[in-house]
Amino acid sequence: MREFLFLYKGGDPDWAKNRTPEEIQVEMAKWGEWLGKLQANGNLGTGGDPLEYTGKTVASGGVVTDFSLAEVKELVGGYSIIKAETIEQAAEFAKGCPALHDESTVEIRPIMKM
Amino acid sequence: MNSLEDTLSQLHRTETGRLISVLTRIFGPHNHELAEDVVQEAFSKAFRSWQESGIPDNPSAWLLTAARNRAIDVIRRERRAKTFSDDLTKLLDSEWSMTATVDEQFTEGNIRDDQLRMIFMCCAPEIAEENRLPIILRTLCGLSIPAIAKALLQEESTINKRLYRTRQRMAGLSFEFPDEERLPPALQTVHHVIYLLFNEGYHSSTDAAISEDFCREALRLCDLLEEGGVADADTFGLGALMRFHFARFRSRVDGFGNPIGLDEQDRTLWDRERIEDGRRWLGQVTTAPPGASGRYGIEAAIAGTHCAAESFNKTDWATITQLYSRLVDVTGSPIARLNQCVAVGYHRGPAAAIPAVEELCREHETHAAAHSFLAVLAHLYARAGETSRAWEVAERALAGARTEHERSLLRRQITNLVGSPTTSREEAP
Repeated sequence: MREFLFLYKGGDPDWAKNRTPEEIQVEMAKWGEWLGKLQANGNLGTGGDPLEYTGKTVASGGVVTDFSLAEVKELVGGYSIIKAETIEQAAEFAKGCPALHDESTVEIRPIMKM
Repeated sequence: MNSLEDTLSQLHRTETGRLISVLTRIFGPHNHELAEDVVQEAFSKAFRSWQESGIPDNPSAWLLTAARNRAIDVIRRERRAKTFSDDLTKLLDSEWSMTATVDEQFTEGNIRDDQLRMIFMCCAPEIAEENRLPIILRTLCGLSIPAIAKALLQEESTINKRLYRTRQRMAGLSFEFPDEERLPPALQTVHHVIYLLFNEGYHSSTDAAISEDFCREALRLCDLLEEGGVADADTFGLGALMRFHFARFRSRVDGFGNPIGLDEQDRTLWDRERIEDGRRWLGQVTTAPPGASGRYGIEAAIAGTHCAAESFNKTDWATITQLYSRLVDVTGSPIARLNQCVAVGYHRGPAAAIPAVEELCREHETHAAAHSFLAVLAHLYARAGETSRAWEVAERALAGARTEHERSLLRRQITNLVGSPTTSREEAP
């Protein structure tokens, strides 16, 4: 079984502000169920965490810049590590991911063993 | 002020077991103490908050939420350093799934199942027999250590040691239902321990309120087995047996706490509703899957027959004699044989029972309950009019009796019988 990094991209940077606590609870229950199923089948590597939509970029030469507003939709909103036999199977798993709504995507990247 | 303390002490009794069980499920048995700490903190928070702003409408829901929130704080603080419950630790490790995972455990159905898991864990073969009651009283019944010490007639330091050892053992156990193969023996131990808890309450004379609490807790744990769908014929038998006994709770001792024999009890004090409830439980013994022991259903049928008699003289001794011979077949216990003799003594007269009891006394001279065998023999001699033999055997029984209560009961019964041999005041089995 190989490990795959799931990157959850896009989404609403203010989603937590735009939802009632009940809506958030419903949303998180979906995450619990999805990861719970993967865990039960031995496909959960690390659940990972959501990320805030702010941050800085450090370039070579020590140049530090804030994210620009234009980039926000492209930002990674969170990550997990999922175990699967093949990348096709990993993609099947991703189809059930609660991150997938509106214009959000799940980027799947096999983790390289060096 | 007083009512706040009353509410909290009531909640301690009803909620502690539920909360410790669900938190042990989440944190894992190796973090059992963490679970106890979280419960303690939830109670402290309730005390401080309710002191300021009054008791909320639904205090148990408030407490549940406080424990849930505290658990989430603890998980966030400890998850890099600790592992939690085997199958949940990864889900608790991730912010995506942590709160949902905790919330799912805090649902009523899961809390009930967790209490069942806790019962089975406390009765696991790895936990020493003498340590089972203290841990059950602490974790499932929410009793304080002083209250446990008082009820079990042990020093507080002894109870603390027992709890400490048990927690160490629990760290290596799994918080799971026994599988199909291990369920029957596990259930048999659980029944035994529940009955022990009940008897501690029923026969204790330390504190009437604690006694009644113990009996109620034993009934509640038995109910949990039924609600959780693991009940077999023994569970229903035990549930029925405890109900028939508990129905007689108020008539079983006099105003000084001395036990009153079945023949002298005021039957109007018997709790009819509970007897009916006992009958419903007894009715399920025949349809439930058979239990490992089989004794509880028979004992319940005997207790039920006593409860059905309007007066002691109207007791259906024929049925009771038959039930006891079944009990002897099932258990092979000398105590069951002794009780069978008592029933025969009432059914066919003392002469029919005396030879068998004489034999039992000879066979079991060193039995822990040898004085009970002698007491029954003394009683039969007295009823047969053999005064001097009755007193001679009674003296030997009195020498072996463990409590003043037992001695006074026996003395009174023999005096009653021998003092006026024509009266029909008689002892209960």
